[in-house]
This record gives sequence, C-alpha cells and structure tokens, in this order.
Amino acid sequence: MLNQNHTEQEFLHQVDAHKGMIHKVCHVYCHNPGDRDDLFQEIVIQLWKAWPGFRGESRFSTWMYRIALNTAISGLRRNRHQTVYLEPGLFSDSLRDESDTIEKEEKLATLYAAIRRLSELERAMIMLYLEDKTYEEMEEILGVNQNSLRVKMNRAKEKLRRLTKPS
Amino acid sequence: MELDQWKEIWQADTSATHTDHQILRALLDKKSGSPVEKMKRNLNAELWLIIISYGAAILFYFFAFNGRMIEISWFMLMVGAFFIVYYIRKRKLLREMEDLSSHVKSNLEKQVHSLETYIRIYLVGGTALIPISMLFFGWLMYTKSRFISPGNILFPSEQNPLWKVLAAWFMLTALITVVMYYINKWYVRKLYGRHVENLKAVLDEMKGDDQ
Repeated sequence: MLNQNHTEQEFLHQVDAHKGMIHKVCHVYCHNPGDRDDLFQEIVIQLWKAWPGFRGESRFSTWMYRIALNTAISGLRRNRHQTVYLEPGLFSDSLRDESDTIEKEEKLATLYAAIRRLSELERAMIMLYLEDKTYEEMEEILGVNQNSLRVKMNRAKEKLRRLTKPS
Repeated sequence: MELDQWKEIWQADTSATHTDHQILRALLDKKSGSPVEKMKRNLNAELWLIIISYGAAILFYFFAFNGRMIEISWFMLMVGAFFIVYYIRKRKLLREMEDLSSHVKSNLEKQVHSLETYIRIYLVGGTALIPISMLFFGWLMYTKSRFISPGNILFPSEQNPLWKVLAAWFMLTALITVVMYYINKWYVRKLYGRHVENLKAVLDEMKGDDQ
C-alpha cells in the first residue's frame, strides 16, 4: 500500500511537471474546450495505465509524448459528439491565463488555429519542432525515420508559414 | 512572422501550471472513454447477454417437452462454447490495442491490424452462425417430423421428394446467410469503419517518403 502510494505520488509528480505538454497536445488536436478536457483526462488515464510498464529505458518526456500522441491520434477525438465537460476552471487554459497579454493570447490562438489546419502527422511533427526536439527524438516518438521526417518537416513548415502569414 | 518567432511564443506559453495534485489524482479514478475501452464494455455486455439468454434457453429446452427437445440445449451449448472462443480472441485483441507506449507508427500499425482482425472475427462469427443454425434446425425438423405439416416444402413427404427439400433448404440458407453477411458488414463498418479509415490515412501519410 505504501509502495503503491509512493508510485502514485511519483507518477503525479512526473505528470505535474509535464502537464504543460499534455495541454499543448490537447490544444493541437482539439478545438473545442470540452473535447480538450476529455482528451486531457484520457491522456492522464492512459499514462496511469501504462505507468507500471515504464522502466526508464527512454526519457519520461519521450514516453509521455508517445502515449499522449497515440491517445490523441487513435483515440478519444473521434467521438466528437461526446460532450462530457469537466468542472469549469479545473484546468487552467493558456488562452484564459490572466497573466498573458492579449497580444500574446492572440498570437498563440493564431498559431494553434494554423496548426490545427495541418494533417494529423504534421501537427505532431510541428509540435515537436516547436518544442525543440531533435530529429532523433522525433524518430523515437513517431517511429518515422529521420530522412523521411526531414522531407515531411520541410513541407509542414512551409504549410505553417503560409497559414500564419497575415492575409 | 518567422517560424523561430512562433517557436518563442510557443515555448513562452507555460500553460497549465496551476493544475494541482488533487485534480490530477481525481482523474485517475475516472473511466476511460477510449474506443478500446468502449469495445471492451460492449464485448462484456455481449457476454452477459449470451450467458443470460442462452442459459435460460438451454435450461428451458433441457427440461421442457419431457426432454424431447434436448437437442436444442446441446446445440446451444455448442454455440455457447464457440462464443467463449470468440470472446477470448476478441478480448486478446483489445488487450493488445490497449498498450499505447510504442512509437506512433507502430501503434497505428497495431491498431489497424487488430481492428481489421476484430472486424473479420465479428463478420465471420456472425455470418457462420446462420448456416450452422439452419443445418441444425433442418436436421431437427427432419427428425421431429411429426411437428411439421406434411405439405411444407422444407419437409420431405410424398409430394416433396428429398432433393426438392434439400434444394429448398440450401436456397433458404444461402439467402439468409448472404443477407446477414451484408447486414453484419454494414453494421460493423458503421461501428468501426470510419475509425479504421482514419487510422489508415495517418499511417499512409507516415509511410510516404520512407527511404
């Protein structure tokens, strides 16, 4: 029991430290706040289910990205009709963060909107690029070889440039 | 604005820094809403439905009519045993699909492969039940012939030679099997078809430009 509590505490500590990343995945893959809350919840549940299998062979953030992206791409978002809302205000939202300036909020909203117009794979790649991940780490997360990733990344960046260009 | 500037804005966004442990802890007790979890719940519901309905029918035919219809009980027991194999196979596939810790491409390959196998099992199992049941009930009607009116085309008599009866059974079985096959196919595609297509599309995109 003590050991389980310890494991749970350790898990919560790790998730707490990386929750910004989970929120970003939710923003990239869901437009609607209700869907984002659902996806956040689902990612945390999937991480918790997979936690006993995490043996530290890869970095925690790499492992977490894999599960978060797998959940987002192959999971909950498909059920767009599902509108289970969590209690309002439970999760702080970057766009609601009072400390952010309006200009920053607008730019972030523009960026998220542009990313959401990319394909599923491009969204994941651009997110990892914005997080400053190396191609090696991207390969470890996505399973796409680096040569192929470079080609796809150039295309995705070009698309993003076009989408964020003021009309 | 250049991509490097977007990167700065992205990285400066330190959202969600106030979600406390209590909220995260509460999430661990919530039910998963993933498609795999829903499929598991549906499969379990299917199992209970079979246990209850088949159990009741097996008991009924075992004791009713002074045991003259006991063959139906044995037949249903046999179908029930096949269902257990079908259940175990599907359950195993769902367990494989639950593991999301592999990289995205191999996870997608696994999801697509498992879902296609799952659909095939559903389709084969649901369709095969029809000719097996028809064969059984044909045999049952033949052996319990006194319950059937003599003029019935599905029953051999002086007016209906055996070849005519067999042909009628064959045609009826083929017709119902084909109709059921298409109904099952439509239903299973309605349930999972779009999901599989979406997963395949992402996978195709990942495989493109592979060197």
